[in-house]
Amino acid sequence: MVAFTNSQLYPYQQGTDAPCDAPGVWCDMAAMVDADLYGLSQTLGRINPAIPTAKISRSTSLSVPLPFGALISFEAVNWDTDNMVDFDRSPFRIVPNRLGEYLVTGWVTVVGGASAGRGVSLEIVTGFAGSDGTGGFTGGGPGDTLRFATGDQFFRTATIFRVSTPPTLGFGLLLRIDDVGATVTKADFTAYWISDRTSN
Amino acid sequence: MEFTEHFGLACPSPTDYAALPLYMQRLAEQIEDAVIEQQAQISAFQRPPTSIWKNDTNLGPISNTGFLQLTFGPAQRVFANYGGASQSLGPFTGTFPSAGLYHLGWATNAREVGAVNADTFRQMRFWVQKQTAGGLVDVMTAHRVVYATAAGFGEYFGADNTVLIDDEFSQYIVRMEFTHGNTSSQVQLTINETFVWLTRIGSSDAIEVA
Repeated sequence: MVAFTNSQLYPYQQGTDAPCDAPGVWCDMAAMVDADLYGLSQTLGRINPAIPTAKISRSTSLSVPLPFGALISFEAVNWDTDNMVDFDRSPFRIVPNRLGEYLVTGWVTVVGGASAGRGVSLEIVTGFAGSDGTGGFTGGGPGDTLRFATGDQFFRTATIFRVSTPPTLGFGLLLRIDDVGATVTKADFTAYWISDRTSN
Repeated sequence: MEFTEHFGLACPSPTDYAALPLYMQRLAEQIEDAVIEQQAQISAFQRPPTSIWKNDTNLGPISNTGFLQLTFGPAQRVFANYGGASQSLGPFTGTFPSAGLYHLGWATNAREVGAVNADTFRQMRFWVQKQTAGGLVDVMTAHRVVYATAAGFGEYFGADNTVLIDDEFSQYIVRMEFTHGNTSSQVQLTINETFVWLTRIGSSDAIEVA
């Protein structure tokens, strides 16, 4: 009588089974193994060789308005493995398609304006649907200070975000500077998926 | 003989049972090849190439008119899950083990050896550059500058950024240079307080399965 393996229930003949029945049992087993291997390969295709990740950047000057700052607009897509960036839709955002946990990091070069000692905050934000404004959840963004009125100064932020509900407005990089005439001369913004997250 | 839909696993036709041992061998080898390939993919995801270096000596000290160029060799590597020639990090080629997307970062504590001048800068410049026919080209920067307090415990700071390393991965270098503005005394990067790390995020190819 045909028996079955413990976990995957693959069929196999036992000693008293008719030899002429072997091809049928064999093909049933092979079909089940094929289906399991295919399922694994589909899962592996989500993580190998690439995961969802995108990096956008700008290298031209951008004035930072007072007093609430602004989302940085970007000009170039360094890479995008999962159609997360569409500058026609929004030059401010990386919009994840896959649910899960994302590591998001931003880095900017700022040239000061008229005065030193001004507060600076670089934050990663998610906004509400239909808006490119600030709001939603923010991450990173430790308080810092624009110490000098001139010269390059560098700020960075990073945090992990949970994306649990599609669609999402995505991630943006918000810079607040309390300094007249400050400009961003360079900015990089990256998001990459680090894991799935099962819902509670 | 018949074959399964996805992996072409062989199974005998009803009249083939005399050749079962041969078909069994073929099936076993096909399954083994598929499983080995999947194991390799799992391993590549579970263990992305990652290295961490730490300074095992004081770096510096230097005056406010000098600069400190950092290099890390195999002896300073405190963690690595890959071997080969890519065991050093500095203004020389060979750091990256393969093409792909990488996340790099650093952290340090700049300590004054004497008096502290409050509000003077401590700056680390961090570049990934590629050697080309036209010279070195910046492909990523993760500079950071902070300003000293008068407390004298040093200044902890760091930065990170991501970079695409293309197929010419052996032509990339990582450059780190520290400078400061403390005029009253020299500043050093004290032993065991400077870390540099890199980890491979993955390929820049479009993902295959949503």
